[in-house]
Parts: sequence; structure tokens; C-alpha cells
Amino acid sequence: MRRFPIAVVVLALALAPLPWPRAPGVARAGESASAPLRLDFLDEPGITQVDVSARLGQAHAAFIRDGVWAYRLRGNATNGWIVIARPSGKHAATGESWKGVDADLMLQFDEHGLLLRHALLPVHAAGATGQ
Amino acid sequence: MRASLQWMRALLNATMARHAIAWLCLATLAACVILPVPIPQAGGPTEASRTNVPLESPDGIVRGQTTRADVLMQFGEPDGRGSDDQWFTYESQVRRGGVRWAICVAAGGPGAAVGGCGKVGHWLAVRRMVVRFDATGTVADVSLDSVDCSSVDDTDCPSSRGGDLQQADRETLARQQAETLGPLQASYPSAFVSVGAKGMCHRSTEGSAARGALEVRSHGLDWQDWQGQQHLLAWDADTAIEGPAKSVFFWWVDVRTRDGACTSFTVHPKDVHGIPGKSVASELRDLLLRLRDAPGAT
Repeated sequence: MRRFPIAVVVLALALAPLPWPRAPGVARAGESASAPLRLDFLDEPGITQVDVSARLGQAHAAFIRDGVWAYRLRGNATNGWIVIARPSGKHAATGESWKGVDADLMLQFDEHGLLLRHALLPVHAAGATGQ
Repeated sequence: MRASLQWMRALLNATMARHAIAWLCLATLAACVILPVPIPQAGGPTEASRTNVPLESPDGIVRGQTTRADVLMQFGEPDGRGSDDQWFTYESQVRRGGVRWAICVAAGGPGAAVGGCGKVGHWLAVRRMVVRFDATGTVADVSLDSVDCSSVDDTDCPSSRGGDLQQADRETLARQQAETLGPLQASYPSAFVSVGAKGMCHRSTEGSAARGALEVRSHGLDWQDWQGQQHLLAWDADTAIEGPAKSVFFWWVDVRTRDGACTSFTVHPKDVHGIPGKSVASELRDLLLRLRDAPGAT
């Protein structure tokens, strides 16, 4: 039996696409994620910053002194939400645009990182709705 | 091209000038054209804008009671935030309905052409809410402004990120720092400041230079360089004030501090045209000497 060249195996491994872990429902800026998220978990008791990070990824903005995180979301409560990731690098300057954003999810944590309250605010509506 | 468009836009704000431009465009039809741009009567928010900005000061914000976290939970992530979150801005931009006008300019010849269009008049209605907080993170003030303007890229619309507020904050900080040098004694609207190496005076308009006014205060001098960086130079009884010395066209006053560093100044008062003579520099030197030697000055 002819032996497969080791160099070919190494090259194939080097070029093979590696799975990159990403929380479901979290999209890169301008991308759509495959599985929209539900936010019901925020109503469960004892939700922490770690839980939120694991589910929603990095916040679009953080207000450290006040323990508040902000996420930008696309979608609706019926079909689920896509988290719009914060642009990085040269695209960070475009972060002020609300294009494609349907709601702003605001989360306030206490000094131990425990979720105190949250609000889902429609950004293209006349008023804001707290939860 | 952009500069010429802004110039034309400014002109078009006046009715008489509008007519003049119209005749000018007719006379040189190949160079410019004014286009009507229909926008649905209802207008509506721009895509990049939020709409959850109230028309009036909201009941949910009470001065002295509402906290910064309360504001965030009520209105969401702000469009702009000041240093240490001293203030937030929330801005909504709405396109005004009806027929709007744009002026398009083209110039060039065979093989090369340039052109562009600029908005004429007010295309947008912008509403901005500014919430300011005190040191404890409680609302100190809320203000709402509504402005009709033409473009968010231009200076006639308020900055959604609060660029104007940041600039005002920088100026306030600079003023507070300058005031540590005592009361203002004289101000020169235009000045060059040249920082020499240790033990040597540079005396050149090249390099470091003041951007705005040079302020003479009871206990020192303050100015801003071309990068907007503020500089303070305090003097004491050991500070040597010398000159004026001429270098190329300018008369310079040298201020040599105890550590041997030399900073040279040439000033231009408002009422002197061209390059000021020796007398202006002599007056500056005399003033600095008088302030340095004043009782209780150091």
C-alpha cells in the first residue's frame, strides 16, 4: 500500500477550517446570526454578568461606574433577537449609527455582578418601554 | 470643491443671493445646476437615527433625584458621552418632507472632470437632548434643542456625539488651569512661542507656536500650541526675563526659568498691522518684569 505523504497531511490540517465558537444569536457587525435569541433568561433569578456575557457576547457599551451594559438588538420578541456586535478597529467610528438596530437592551448589575434590572427600549419608536 | 459648495450654500441662505446665483447659473449653464429633490411630505427619521428622544423635558428625569443609571435604563445607550460620563447626548434626526433643493457643480475638460452636489436649505429637523450629571451621578440639568439644518456632516447640525460639548469641556478645563496662574493681566491675540533647548533660546516661528492668544497672568503665561495642547509657564523671583532680541524678522522676549529652559515669545497685538516692531516686544518684556517683581507675585 502506498504511504500518504506526511507533508500533504500537514498541509491539509493547516488549511482545514477551524470551528470558531460564537454564542448563538450574536452577529458580527453587519452579519446575521443563524439562531435568534430569546431574552426570557433575563427574568430568571440570580443572572450574573458572566451569564449575560456567555449568552449575548460583549456589550456594545459599558457604563462601569453605574454597572450598566448596553446591547444593540435587531429583531422582535416574537421571532427572537440578533445581537449586533460592536464594530472594532476602523469600523468602530461607525458605532453611533442606529441603522439596522431595532432595540436597545439595557442591563444594570449590582457591585457583585448580579442583574438588578433590565429594559428593552425600541429605538425607532416614539417612546421607550421598560420591562 | 467642498469648500466652494459650502460657500455657495451660505450664499443661498439669503434670498437676494439666491437670485444672484440663479442668474449666475443661467449665465454659465455648463458649470452648475440647481435640482429639486422631492421628499415625501411626511418626511421621517433618517435610517441612522434613533427616534426615542422626547419633544419636551421628560417627566421621568428629575433634577437632583434621577440617577445616571435611571437615565440609561429609560433612554438607552446615549449617542455621545462626556468625560467621566458627566453628560449624555441623545439625538434624533428627521428628514423634512416636501421639495428640497440641491446645487450640483461640475467643472473640467476633456479627460478630467470633477463635480459634486450639496444640499441647499434645511433638509433635516434635529432634536437633541443633553443630560448633565453632578459628581454624585445625579441629574443636574436637562436641555432639549430642536434645530432645522442641512447635514449632519456639517457644522449647522448639532453633533450627535456631543463634539461641541467636548470642545466646551476642554475650554473650561483650560480656563480653570490658566486661572491657577492668577488674574489675567494682558492678552495677545496672536503669538509665536518657541521652546529652546536647555540653556539656549531658539527664537523661531518654525515648530512650536501658539495657536490662539497668549495670556499674561499675574504669576505666569499660558497658551495653546497647534495641537490644542495647553501650556503653562509660571515664573518666580529667579526667572530671567530678557530681550527683546531680533531673530530674522521678529523681536523676541526670552523667559529663562530656574532649570535653565528658555522659552521665547513674539506677540502681535490686534492694532498692529504687519510684523510688529521692537516697541511691542519691549512692552511685553516690561510687563513681565513688572509682574515678576510685584509684591506677593511669587
